[in-house]
Amino acid sequence: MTQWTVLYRKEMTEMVRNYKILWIPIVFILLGVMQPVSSYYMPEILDTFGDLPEGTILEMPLPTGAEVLMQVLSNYGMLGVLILVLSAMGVVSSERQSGVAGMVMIKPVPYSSYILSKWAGLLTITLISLFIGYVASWYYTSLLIETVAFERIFQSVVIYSIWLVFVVTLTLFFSTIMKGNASVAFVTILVIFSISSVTSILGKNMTWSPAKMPEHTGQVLLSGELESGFLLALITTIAIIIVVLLSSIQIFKQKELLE
Amino acid sequence: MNVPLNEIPWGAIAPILVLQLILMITALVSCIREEKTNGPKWLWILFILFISLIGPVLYFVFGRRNN
Repeated sequence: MTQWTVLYRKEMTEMVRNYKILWIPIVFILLGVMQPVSSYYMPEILDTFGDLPEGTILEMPLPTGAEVLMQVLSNYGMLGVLILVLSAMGVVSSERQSGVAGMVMIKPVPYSSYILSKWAGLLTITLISLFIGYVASWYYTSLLIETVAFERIFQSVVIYSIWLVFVVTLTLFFSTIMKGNASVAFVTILVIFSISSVTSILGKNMTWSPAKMPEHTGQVLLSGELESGFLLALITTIAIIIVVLLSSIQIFKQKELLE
Repeated sequence: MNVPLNEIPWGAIAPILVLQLILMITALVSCIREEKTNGPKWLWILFILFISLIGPVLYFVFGRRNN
């Protein structure tokens, strides 16, 4: 356990040193805050920059608070996921290439501690960014548009964070089994994209799919109630996360440390 | 733009500008202190300075060498 703590602390200092602890949350805050601001000022923005003919009347209903927050989460689902995957792609693979992993593993450190400390570091940065960004977005939404009950915010962010944990765990897995950073990012995004699109095409038959989590998040935001399939999706998502983590550890054990 | 300055809702906009500024300065400091970046350093500095939000993010993701 103490070794794990040391490794985790190393992970965190590294994130401070390469500014990840600063820039990823800031980007999440900006992504979250710009949505309510731009939907609130959309008529004025169109008025000033839109170059519409004189006298055009635009009827634009102001979206409800829950709709704005759903939009924010879907931005996180695209750009946020992209940023998380790109910033996490080298987590194991580049340490192995530069020989740092070899230097760590010469000491009697269990393979599981190494992978789990990486995983915990990624979770820390992901969850911090998501929570701060989402709360900032909630604050702006309630300031400009309308207040959304805090319970719903809390429920939706917890459900959404499970999806992001799934994404980050996949990134760690591919970073363990592959060499180049770019290919890690490419394959991870491809897999996530395929899971999402297959799930949305075969929606009825794939209630168990992890990609249902974002949908359930939207449901909670809008109605405050969970759909029936939620528990199934939750169980499979957590099961997949555990299996992927365990297989990352197993594969890492069998890999050559210095390439 | 023909909106008078005092009509811009600074209370809502100012935090966004401040955050973007922090992001830009961090990226700039990191870029200047880095010994070598992926690609020419002066180009990254221009990117960071003139493309708000996306410039610094691109630098952090692609400009830094991971070691």
